[in-house]
Amino acid sequence: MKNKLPREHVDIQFLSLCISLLAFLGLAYWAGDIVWIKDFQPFITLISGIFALFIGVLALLRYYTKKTSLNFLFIGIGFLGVGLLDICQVILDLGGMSNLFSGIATEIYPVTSVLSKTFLAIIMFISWLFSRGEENSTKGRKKKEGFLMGLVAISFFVFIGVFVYLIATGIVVDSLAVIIVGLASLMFLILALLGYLLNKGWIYDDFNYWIVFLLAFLILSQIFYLPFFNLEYSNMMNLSVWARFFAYIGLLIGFLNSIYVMFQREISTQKELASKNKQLDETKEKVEEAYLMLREEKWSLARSKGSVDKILKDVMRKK
Amino acid sequence: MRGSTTAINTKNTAKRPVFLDIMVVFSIFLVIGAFAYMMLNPGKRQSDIRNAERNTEILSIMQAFSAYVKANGNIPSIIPLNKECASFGNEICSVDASDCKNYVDLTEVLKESELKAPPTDPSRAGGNGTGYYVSHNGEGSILLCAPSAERNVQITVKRFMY
Repeated sequence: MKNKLPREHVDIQFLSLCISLLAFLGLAYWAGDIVWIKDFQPFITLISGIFALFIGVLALLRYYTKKTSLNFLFIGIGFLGVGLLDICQVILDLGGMSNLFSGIATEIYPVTSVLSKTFLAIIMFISWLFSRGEENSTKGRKKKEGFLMGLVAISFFVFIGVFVYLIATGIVVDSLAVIIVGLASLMFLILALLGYLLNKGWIYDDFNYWIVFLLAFLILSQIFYLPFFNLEYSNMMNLSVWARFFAYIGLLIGFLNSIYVMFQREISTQKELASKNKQLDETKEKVEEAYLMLREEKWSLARSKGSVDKILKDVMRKK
Repeated sequence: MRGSTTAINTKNTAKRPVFLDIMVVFSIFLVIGAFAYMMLNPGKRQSDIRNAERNTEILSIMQAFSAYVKANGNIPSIIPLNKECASFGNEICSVDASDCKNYVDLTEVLKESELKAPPTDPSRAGGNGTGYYVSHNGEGSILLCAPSAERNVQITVKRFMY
């Protein structure tokens, strides 16, 4: 039976998630009046890519230590792939690392960046599917999950259909493929978030909360990327990059936290073992003492009977 | 006594999560509200409207300068020579100003134009200036700008007069 986290702890975690989302949206609101550092986007994308590689390695290590959790394998593969794609994209865009702080992205919607976002969204959804398979979910919960996810998927398909219709009739002129792929990855991210929220793993494990944090910020990043808000296009791209960066930082914190928890658990196990050993030694000493006292009593009794030498020999041999 | 202590403790422990639960639900609604607000973003809409107004007003001032130059053959001498448009001494004096010292007084220029008074920047409240700046670069061009433009928008007009 897994131990539940204190309710207050869980509440504070979700409160902090909501506050961070609100703070980010506040930043988006004021984004128009902020003078952004010129050409920082490739640099942040590069750092995010490096973080993604780091997360991928940590997740694969975690899978290696606990091979039953297949969702770590998927998270690991997903983040390694995304990290590589993001770094390749930056290098291709800039035409080399020497232009990191001076280069400007040539394409509005680079294909690799769209693909990396979709790949991560699908991988996160698959990781949830596998984590779900490892648990014994009740029939009622599975039904509820199925209903909610079906509803989300259907509404997304309708939304995509409306977009295709608008573009086909020439009302909206935009890159059709990017919108469809972007909406599909948004759908996968929302489904994964719903899945992780409904399986309630965050009641037992902090890491599940950090996955929820990651998914929430990835959804925000995708919303900015598509873009759905009434903001300047350049600001939306900047905020999309930042949201992704915060999402990766969140998951990294989650991994560090889980390593810390494991380390603390190891320490407490060591302490428990030491105290158990101490108790065992004390009990052993008491038993020996009791045995010796018994022998002493027996000896004094036997002395009167004349078999002292035999008992003394016995005691010496025991010692 | 023991019973009452236990009762108080139970009340305390039950109260705290409920308060936090309410806070979480409230903040979730706030996040959803913020999403909806950002989709409409009335603040940006207002800023865009004000920026459009600035553009129109700057163009109307520039037309007045063009009319003056056409009529007189020269750039008004009141316009300071400065390549930097938004500098001290380049601000156009307001029609309600008590004193036009260190400001550019356009009374002479506007006499020959349809524009009766220099327009004031929509964000400018009070003061002797209009919030619009003017200068000429010494190469025959007049520069007009609105440094109070919002959302990092650059509103500048440069026109060669001859």
